[in-house]
Amino acid sequence: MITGPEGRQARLGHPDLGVGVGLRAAHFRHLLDDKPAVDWFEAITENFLDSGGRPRRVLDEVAERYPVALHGVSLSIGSTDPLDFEYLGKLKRLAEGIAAVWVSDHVCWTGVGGVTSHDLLPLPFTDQSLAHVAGRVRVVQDFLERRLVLENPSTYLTFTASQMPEHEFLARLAVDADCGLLLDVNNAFVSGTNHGYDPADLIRAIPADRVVAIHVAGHADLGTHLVDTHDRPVPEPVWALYRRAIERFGPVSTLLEWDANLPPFPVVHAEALRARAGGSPMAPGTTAGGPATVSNPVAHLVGAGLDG
Amino acid sequence: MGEGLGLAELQRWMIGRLHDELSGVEVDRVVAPSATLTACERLAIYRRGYELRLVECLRAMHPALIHLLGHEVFDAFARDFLAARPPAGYTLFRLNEGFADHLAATRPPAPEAWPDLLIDVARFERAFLEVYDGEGAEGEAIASSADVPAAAAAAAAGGCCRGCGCRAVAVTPVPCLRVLRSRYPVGAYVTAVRRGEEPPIPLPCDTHLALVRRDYRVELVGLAPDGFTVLDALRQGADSATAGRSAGVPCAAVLHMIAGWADKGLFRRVVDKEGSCC
Repeated sequence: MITGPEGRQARLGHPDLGVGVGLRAAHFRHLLDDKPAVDWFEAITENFLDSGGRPRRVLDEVAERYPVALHGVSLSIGSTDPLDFEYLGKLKRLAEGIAAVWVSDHVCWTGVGGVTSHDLLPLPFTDQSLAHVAGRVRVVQDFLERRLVLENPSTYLTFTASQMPEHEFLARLAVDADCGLLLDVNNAFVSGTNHGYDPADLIRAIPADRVVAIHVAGHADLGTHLVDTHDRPVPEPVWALYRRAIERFGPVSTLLEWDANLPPFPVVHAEALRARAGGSPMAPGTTAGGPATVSNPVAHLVGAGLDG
Repeated sequence: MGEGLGLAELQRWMIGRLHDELSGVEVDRVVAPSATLTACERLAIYRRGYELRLVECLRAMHPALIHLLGHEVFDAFARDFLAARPPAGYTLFRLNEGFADHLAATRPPAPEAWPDLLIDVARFERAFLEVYDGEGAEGEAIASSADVPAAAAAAAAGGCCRGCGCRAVAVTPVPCLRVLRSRYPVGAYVTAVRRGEEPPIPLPCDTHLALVRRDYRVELVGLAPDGFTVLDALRQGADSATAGRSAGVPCAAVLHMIAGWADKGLFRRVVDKEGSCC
């Protein structure tokens, strides 16, 4: 078992849930009717925070049958706007309502001055940013009465002001804020390629005992840069990075994110299950995705699955 | 922080650059280039993504408006709306809240009626989403016609008013009830588009509708013009007598309407008010 320097358990005590799939509205009917054998699901927090309709009812049914983690895109932990305690109150109630196994979001900011981009915007990696984000993480954790789990986002620019590499920022943040980490190996690959550093630096640098979960996903190569599109199978270089992560961290809950050009659930699940063998060859019938879409962390928020 | 920008200042600068023109010199001070892209090109990835992401969300919310306009024209309307009203909240569910009002505010002064069709469709599609995913009454015991006083049925059969003895009632609507008045019959059109059909473009016809959700499905309830006035007044807290007077509808007929609407799931509760209606 991996333990930290202070004797912490591996994954901060969270279990290795196995291989999970992102909960998407287009799959609701299949999940309710066929009740497939899936290790766990991850629900996008903002899809359900205010839902009083069918989406929330489906989430409740799924949570009765499977472990469910909540994954947010709007906490905006790096913003210099005040924390939104209305949002946090709803998040706390939702997490308690479905007995979420953990609550995660991204090391980013989404807006400032009351305007939101609905995107995961990059932070400058400075001592000032680090102190700011760590302080807010501690406030959020006190409020939620649980540790927050934070993910490295895909990024497309770096700031001249940055004083340290991303991997150092994340490693220090996890310790300073006493939070968990969600290692997205696809994001590490995308950011590493876009910024010209070795994505394995992240795997080598972050505290092993704080890695609660791993994300895998597909991305698009636009020639000059990669875009985190979640619209296709996981490419081999990302599986290779995943294998390196598992070598260092041991078995960790792993989840496939697939949002756009979404195939039927069995195809998505088969792709996710490749993680059990570290990314074995694609199952027959797995589609290779369509044209590249915009990087959209919230592509699945609206529209799909409305059958009223 | 380098170049004198603190974190707050840098964030305000970047969020502004998602909307405004980029200045190369200014961007170079803040954003580092990569081996393949200039600082401006890297920032432009976020700028394009911002607009595309939000336009995509509006597309998902407005399939019928796209059916009417086509993608290109719809996207132009969507971009104009987003420029005028950038999103402010944590949830994209509220992104299109002001879309119909924005279309109305920017309606061309031409006498043609077609802009009204766009506005009506946009307003209906917003209401549909609110009813679909808002707070509902599933799992609750809601009111039925049996909760409307027996005097109502008798009065309806025997006529009223002036000393008819009908009891006034007050209603508590289910939280997912919405009422809409439109210049086009957009309800059938939008629901047909949502089913993947190719309905004809509706012709002008004043239409009154209630939208409600039962067992997690959105249902449309057609209303007569006076019924719309009555239901809207009830929804805003008027009792049956007041609602009837506002529409010029006899109290017995109001109670009859309420009984019918109760059986369609529009009310959580129907309760007697003290005294008679007239």
